[in-house]
Amino acid sequence: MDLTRRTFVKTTAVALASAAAAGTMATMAGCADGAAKASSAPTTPAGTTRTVGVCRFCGCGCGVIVEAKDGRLVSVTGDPENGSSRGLNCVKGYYLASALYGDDRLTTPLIRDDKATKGTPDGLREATWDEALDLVASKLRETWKADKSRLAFWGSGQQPIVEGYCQAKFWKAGLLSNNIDPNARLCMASAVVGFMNIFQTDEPAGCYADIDEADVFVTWGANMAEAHPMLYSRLTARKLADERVRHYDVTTLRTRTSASADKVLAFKPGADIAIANAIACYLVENDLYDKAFVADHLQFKQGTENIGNAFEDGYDASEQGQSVDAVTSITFEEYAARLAPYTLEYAEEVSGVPADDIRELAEVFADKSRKVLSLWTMGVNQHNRGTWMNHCIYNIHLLTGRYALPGDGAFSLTGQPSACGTAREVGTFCHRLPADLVVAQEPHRRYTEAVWNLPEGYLDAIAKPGFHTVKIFRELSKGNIDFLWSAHNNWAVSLPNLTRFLGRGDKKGVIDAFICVSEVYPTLSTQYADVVLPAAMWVEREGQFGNGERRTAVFEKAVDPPGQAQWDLWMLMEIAKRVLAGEKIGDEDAFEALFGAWYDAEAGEFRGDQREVSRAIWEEYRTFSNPWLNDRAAAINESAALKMEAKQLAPYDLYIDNHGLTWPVREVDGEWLPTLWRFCDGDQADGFDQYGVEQYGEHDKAGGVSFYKSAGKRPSVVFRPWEPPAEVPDEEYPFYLCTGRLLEHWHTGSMTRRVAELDRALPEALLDMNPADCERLGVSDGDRVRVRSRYGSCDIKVSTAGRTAPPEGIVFAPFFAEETLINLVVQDVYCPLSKEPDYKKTTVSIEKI
Amino acid sequence: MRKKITAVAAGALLVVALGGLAGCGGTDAAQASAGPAVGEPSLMPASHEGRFYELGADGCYGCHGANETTDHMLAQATPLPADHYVDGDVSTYEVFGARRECLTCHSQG
Repeated sequence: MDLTRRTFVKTTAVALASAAAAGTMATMAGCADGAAKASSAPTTPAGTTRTVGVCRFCGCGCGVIVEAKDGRLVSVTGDPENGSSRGLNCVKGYYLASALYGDDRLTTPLIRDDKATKGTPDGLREATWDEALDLVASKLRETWKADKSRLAFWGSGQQPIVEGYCQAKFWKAGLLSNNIDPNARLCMASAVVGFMNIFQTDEPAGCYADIDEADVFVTWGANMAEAHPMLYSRLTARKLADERVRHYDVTTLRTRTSASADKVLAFKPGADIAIANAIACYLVENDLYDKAFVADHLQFKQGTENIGNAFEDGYDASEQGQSVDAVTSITFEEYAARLAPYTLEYAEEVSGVPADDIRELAEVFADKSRKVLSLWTMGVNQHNRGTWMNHCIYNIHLLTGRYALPGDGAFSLTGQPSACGTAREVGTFCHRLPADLVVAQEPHRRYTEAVWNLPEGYLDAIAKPGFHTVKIFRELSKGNIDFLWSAHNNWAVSLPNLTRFLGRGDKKGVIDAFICVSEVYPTLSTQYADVVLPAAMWVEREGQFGNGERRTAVFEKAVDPPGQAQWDLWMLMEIAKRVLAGEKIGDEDAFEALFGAWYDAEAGEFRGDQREVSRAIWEEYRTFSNPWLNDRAAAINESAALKMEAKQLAPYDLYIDNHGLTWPVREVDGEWLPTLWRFCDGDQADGFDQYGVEQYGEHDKAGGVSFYKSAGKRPSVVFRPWEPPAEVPDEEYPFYLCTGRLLEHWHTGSMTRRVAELDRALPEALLDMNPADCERLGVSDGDRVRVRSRYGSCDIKVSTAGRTAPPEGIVFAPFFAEETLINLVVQDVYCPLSKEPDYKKTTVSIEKI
Repeated sequence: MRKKITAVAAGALLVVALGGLAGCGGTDAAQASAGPAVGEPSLMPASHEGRFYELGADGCYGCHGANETTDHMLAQATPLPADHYVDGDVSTYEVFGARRECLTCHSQG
């Protein structure tokens, strides 16, 4: 593949240049000799120890070198040997060490005796671990025995991999419950359903090196400068390196990311699908698509349309809700006919973007002499048609043969550090099992039973998916959940429609339910907890994250947790031990069968140190993608054609030695080689998917790619129509409210707001408004206003000089500030396919107070 | 590139208010939290409001960057550390591409 070879040579040059610079960075950071040896925590002349880590904030997954002295972190610097970040980081990552040392770390288990104190900072008393664990376990067991539908676990894309793996195993195999879902439902679910619908595999084909290779960037609903800072630095570096590089920012409001754009296509909220369809229509009608790629690789479909919106709790079970996943095959000509109404003029009418600008972007996609990289995040995913918009971006790239090629692809950026590695790859969703398997598929359950050594048919009890995130909290608010355990998240700030979920209306479910919160700091969520379990934070234990480019990385334990704070995995084992006491799986003690390999229930301790325990769990987990490690699994993999090895993972220690590896990692002559470009034919040693294509794919197809995980090796181009937002502005609620995160604060700010510098840089949430709207309402910068929606209201200070510059009719607020609690206002309507809420388009009124 | 930066630097020297400048590569102990300091990038003081938006990295270089006679052109400014330069070499007088998005690490304080 000539193009690929040439591209790779160029890529290598870029990488080497970066590595050279990074090497110097390492010297400056004082870690030139430490990175490779860090896994053994060497002591430096200064008496510090160095360990290898990965940032615990966003989905970039930047590698870091952690230095500690006298049991306390003294520095966090960029890790030049981490292939994702090459020594780069952002302000949050550099201040990571300080994030551990807020004055109010939780160090003791806490119990609330009086539910009437819920929702206040008071009412929690100190307890022993035994008392707290006994109480949590007894409530969980009581609920489990009475009615399994009334318990739930809400996890996270910040949960390390082996912890998420054990959590899912406990819930799915131990409790036979699917009422487990992560906060990744709030950020990546639409991307996931898009991946599964189109490619039948949940993964980005590209990698971060694509950014260094692209000639044109198209950001769709993505504020990378604030939400994926390291990747944005690489985008701007690429642009500076070659004046011909272009950036188109397709967005509803100008952000810091717009600063590097040559053209901003500012569209009316929800109209992105009309723009994408118009681009596809233009390409087809003007014969500008890649005919060879279409003929070799694609199939065409259309799906259920006019699917309404999930306002009502009964939507999923309704006839309409049950029909949303249905698709039928159509011909290319029929697909073209569906696109035909999406003229440039029609798209302009719907979106407000000039037809000439849409044409210009379409021509960019048509020009095969240049590589085009689409990047997107929450503007696309948190969308009442989020899955559909994911489809529409891939449609354009597939039609033009721009997918899975270096620098030429569509890249769904991940929000959290392990949304990919844990939530998606481990499968901590209500409908999933590890490694892309799903509960509803019988062969998938059989395979999981084999790896987990369960009796055949044991998992048939969980064939039906459980409650997704919004469903969990809607049921909680109605008093239909008796037991909720949350970890690695702060649901009382991050969920939409908090007016309902915090019981501030006429609902009191959150008060009545027994709620356990594992946390590192007091949060609004702990104010609603019956029990708070103090957790070890980040490098106070060993953990693993899987980032947005399929890179799995380990962060080593560097220091002990404070006080009585404990590793989440220890809490899980102790609760599971208590809940499963006396239970059997087949003839075996249930706890012993599930967790006995790494936890001694009688002694109440792990069978080895954290490295050994992590390795043992990882080895079981990686059996899912190395079926030959288990004869029973191997036979099912063969007979059911599951292709489980397509996502092959390597032995645990290699991830430490290599400062992270991108999967699939192939064993070749005793060496383990990562993959950078999935489905792209080429030499594995150069980062291409040689062995995957050889085993399951085809050589010499258009573009030099082979989509061997897709049905018939053909990804699906699915026509998706433009349908309006769930709410549109009216006289009573004339503005769209868009929410999001900003650079200095991670999600709900529970960690970053405890770092003085980060707090000073971004001390409060402001409502960004257009000056013309302010003038019309008679408000000025600094005035406090009440923002009101159909769901609730909150008060916030106005700014016309904030981080974003909304057009008239749109306002923006970040969600990090619990004193503002913007999510009291935000709708909990979700994409009917992915069940991911739309945080970007709540209609609101604004009045000066 | 070098010429452009130098030209901007000269302009910057004329127009920037001099008081209270902090910059890259170290932590102002007086501003720091009780936590560790090594490697934590300094925040920009309030007098820098809007500066990066207007001038980009060149606007920062004008005070914090090096030229043939000094490693930082404004006496009170913190010099850019060597790892911010191309090839880690200060004498290139050119900021490494991925380090030019100064706001990524140096927020307005």
